[in-house]
Amino acid sequence: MSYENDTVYQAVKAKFEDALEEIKEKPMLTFYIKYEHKDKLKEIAQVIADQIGTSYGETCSAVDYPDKQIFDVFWFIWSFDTRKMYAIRTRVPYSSPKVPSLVEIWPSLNWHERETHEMFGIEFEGHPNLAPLLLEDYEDIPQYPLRKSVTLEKRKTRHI
Amino acid sequence: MPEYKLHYGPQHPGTHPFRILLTVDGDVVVTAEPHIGYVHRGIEKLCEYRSYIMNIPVINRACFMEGSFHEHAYAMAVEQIYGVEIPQRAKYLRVLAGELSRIHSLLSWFGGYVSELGFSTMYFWPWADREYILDLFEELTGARISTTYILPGGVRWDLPDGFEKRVEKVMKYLEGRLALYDKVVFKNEIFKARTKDVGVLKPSDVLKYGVTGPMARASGVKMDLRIDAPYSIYDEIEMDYNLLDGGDCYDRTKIRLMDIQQSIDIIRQVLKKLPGKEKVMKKLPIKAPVGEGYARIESARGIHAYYVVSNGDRNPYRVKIRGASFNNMSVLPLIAKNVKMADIPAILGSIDVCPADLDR
Repeated sequence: MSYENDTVYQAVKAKFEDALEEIKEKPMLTFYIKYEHKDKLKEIAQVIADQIGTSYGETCSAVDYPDKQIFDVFWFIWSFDTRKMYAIRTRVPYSSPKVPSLVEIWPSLNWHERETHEMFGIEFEGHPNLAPLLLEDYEDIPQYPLRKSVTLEKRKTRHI
Repeated sequence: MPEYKLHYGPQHPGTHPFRILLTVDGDVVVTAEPHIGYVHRGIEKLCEYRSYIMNIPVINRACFMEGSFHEHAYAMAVEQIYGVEIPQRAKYLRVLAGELSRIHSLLSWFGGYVSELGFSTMYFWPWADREYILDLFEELTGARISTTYILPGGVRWDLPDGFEKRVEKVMKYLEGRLALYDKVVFKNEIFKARTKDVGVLKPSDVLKYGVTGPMARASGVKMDLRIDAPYSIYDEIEMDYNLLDGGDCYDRTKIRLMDIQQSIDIIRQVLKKLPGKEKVMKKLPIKAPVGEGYARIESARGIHAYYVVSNGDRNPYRVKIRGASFNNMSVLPLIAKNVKMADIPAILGSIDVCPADLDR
């Protein structure tokens, strides 16, 4: 495993080994945090932020897995110093879709978390303003449209 | 005079389809709060219902001005899932399409922006020049705007005969025009008065708001994905950061014109280094393997990123689009604070928001 020698990985492992669920290398170095340890998520993010130097949160969203009853929430971070992407992810159960907000560490994630909230219904605890953003004045769009439970009408294919 | 609220847009000629809720005290703007979502089409959801290749015409419309960039980023993310390496010539052609797209996007922005500041004639000149780029696109891809040229696996067609010569002719013409714009706009006292020291974005706020692209570079932040993390064939291209340090509307305009010059240089290098004829399209199977891909691209507005998840089916399981305008727009409340009402079009225009990739 090539990530074993990564200083960011070592720093996280030294402090929070029991909170780590899984490490992935593709498409970027990904830290899966156990949902039971979600209160440590912010501290872990802070350790990563200290390690990677100048950085900004590039995006944040979720993937819905109805068969496993989880949302896979991710935050993608770009570091200018190491010139690499990093990801922090956690698998959030349907029963309590709540995760800590990382806006304090990377303020650029503000609108991204807001969008994830309105598209998936995930509560970001500590976020300054979770008001609707893109779907503000729409009335005919179902709630949380990016969840898999919301389906589109079947596409009609015209055969010539 | 008491403060009152004013809706700026969505039907205002100076805005795109979004609304800015201004709190004004007389003629001074106290706060500006963007309200977006008027052209939200749910592209991320639509992509889950189409196969990888059928998504291209949808992705293309994530921003009509720079569809090539969206196609390119999406194609790179999908290729990561398939684990394929595309032909070298196709990579060059992708960069060529991208840089042509950058020029036409920036020229049309430039025309629109200066016309908002009162230069009615300057609206038509860049838009007329842009037609030459669109003619090149028509010849290369068969379409002027929605080109659907870049597919996962390569590009659709090779260059037509004699295309290089016609590109060079247009590039030479454009260089002359850039000198003219410099004379007409950047040395103009009215333009300076409207834009100098207006809407200043400090370098420390650039990272805080995730601002990317020309807007970040106009504030003096060294940030260009083509150099920082060269994708495709950018590691073979010689280029340097375009940097200015004012961070005001004037510098944001100037840096985009510098970007056009840089694109012209890149296009010349691409045509010079273009490898010999080979197949430019690698056919991919309809069903993708299980996996995920993340690709980022430096567009005319900043960083576009695509995150694609595959569960082994013919359609992607999830597509997440990060549009550059999304973060660039979020900085508006900061830079449009305590300015005059008349400065709002100047500041809003200088962000170069593409509402299509803002709302997706």
